[in-house]
Amino acid sequence: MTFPSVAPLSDYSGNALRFGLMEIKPVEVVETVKKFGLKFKRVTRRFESLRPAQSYEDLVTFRNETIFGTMQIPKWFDVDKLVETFSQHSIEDYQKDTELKEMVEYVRKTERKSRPLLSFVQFMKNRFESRRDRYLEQEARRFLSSNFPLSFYNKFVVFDNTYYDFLKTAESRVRRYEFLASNARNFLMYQKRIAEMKRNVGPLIDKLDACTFSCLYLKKYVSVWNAKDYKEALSPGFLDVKNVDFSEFEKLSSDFNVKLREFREFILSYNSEVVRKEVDSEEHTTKMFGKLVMLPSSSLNLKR
Amino acid sequence: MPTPSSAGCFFLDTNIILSDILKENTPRIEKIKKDSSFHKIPCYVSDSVGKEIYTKVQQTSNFLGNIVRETIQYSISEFRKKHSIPLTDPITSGDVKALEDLFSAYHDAIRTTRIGLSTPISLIEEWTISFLGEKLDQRTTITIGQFLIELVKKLLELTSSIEDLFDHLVTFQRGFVKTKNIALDSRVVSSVKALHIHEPDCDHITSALMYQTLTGEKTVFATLDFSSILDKRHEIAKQLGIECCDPLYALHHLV
Repeated sequence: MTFPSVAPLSDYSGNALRFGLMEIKPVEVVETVKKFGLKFKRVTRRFESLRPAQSYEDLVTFRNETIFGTMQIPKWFDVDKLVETFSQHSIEDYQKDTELKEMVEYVRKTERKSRPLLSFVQFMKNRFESRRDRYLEQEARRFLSSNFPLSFYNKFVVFDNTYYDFLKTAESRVRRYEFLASNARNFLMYQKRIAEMKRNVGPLIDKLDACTFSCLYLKKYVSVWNAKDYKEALSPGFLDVKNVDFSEFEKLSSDFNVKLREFREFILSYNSEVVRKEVDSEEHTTKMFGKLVMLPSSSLNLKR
Repeated sequence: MPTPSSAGCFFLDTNIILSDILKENTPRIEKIKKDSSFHKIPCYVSDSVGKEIYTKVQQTSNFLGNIVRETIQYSISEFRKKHSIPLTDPITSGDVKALEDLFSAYHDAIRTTRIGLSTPISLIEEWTISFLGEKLDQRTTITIGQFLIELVKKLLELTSSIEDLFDHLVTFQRGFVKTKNIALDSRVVSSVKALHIHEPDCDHITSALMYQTLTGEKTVFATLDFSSILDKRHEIAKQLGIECCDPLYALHHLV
């Protein structure tokens, strides 16, 4: 069993969004071209890296060092080796994800008229949308191969839903600012609009990072305490709640819950409608749940 | 249409919020929401109500999860083992009959021991068998593993939506209710308990009562709990001075 939804979804998607939307600066290239014997000035605008980009490898290693450097780990594991194992695994996943890498590059190379920033966020959103059912299934599988309560896995589904809300919010913001930028009178205004977009979207990505960190911390904590060796730590077979220190587990779960709530509330401040979900009251599961939840707690106990 | 003679407010019980989230008891819930909006009467939930809702949703979710993972999985696996059918084979009517035996055993145990309620079992039985029946009707081939995964997915989808709606309404206070954090006085709690109102209901009523006393604002506690609160509503009003009622009538208690 693996925790694959963590890797493709959040382990580097926050980083990819940072690379794609934040670590960029607009540049204007003026070229002189000759056409019909006349000289024309052609002005193109595109994005460049803001600074020498920190490699994905560095980011992921730094994150794992922070996680395992502060985590209580079993005595049969070594911190450095855990950092190496998990980082290598994430890097390999990222290397295989040519689709995402190409999209990040596309943002850097495309000229402004094709609105590359919006295309990038839409790519992230559509990709996530097409994989949502798979992520849900992964949580269901993990639940069935464990003795952790269902409410534990529910938080990760809420996280996935929140991530999707985040993408929708980021999409609407990027659309607005990129549209304004594309209609800017001059390059100065264009730069200003892109800077506004970064100021607007930046805090959202910061919140996503904080929440993702807590999510990964909790998942990795449960994984390493249910593994005998490094290979198993990446994909433990059965997750046994008895293998984790309950007070530490409670602390990490509570931290994740707090970060998740903060993130959701933050998204709400951007877009009040996006977080609200509806339940289908005609659906069998809703009807059954609705009746059960109204019963006294003492009746939720099956004994034969 | 009567109008409240003075400012007042509604304190809502757990079942009102859960009904609103799950779209149960819609006419009653819509009535109080409409009254609140039309007459600008604030609706509050106490901390104790917020906690109870959260706990109840988690408990129900974990209860259902455990039934799928342990009881249903075990029952079908045992049936397969007994009849030497591989676990990877698609589900047939034989497996459905194994579930029939399982639920029947629960019903019998409740009848003979008189411990527990048959309602939860009936509800889970209907949910599981209807779900499986739909799959078999559609001639969809489904293995035990897929069946269990589909059940868990349904639960996860629903409970995550409930959490979203709960947070939207109670935690982030983006709907028709506002939360009130009221420190409970143990003497008042005891006087509510003296009327045989058990926890956590006594905390909810105490919160409403203390709010009424502290602010002087007429407060009505709206609930759908007919068997342990509304059946004592006259006694509660007489002894404690707070009105408890069905949400349909809440407005009229402020007049």
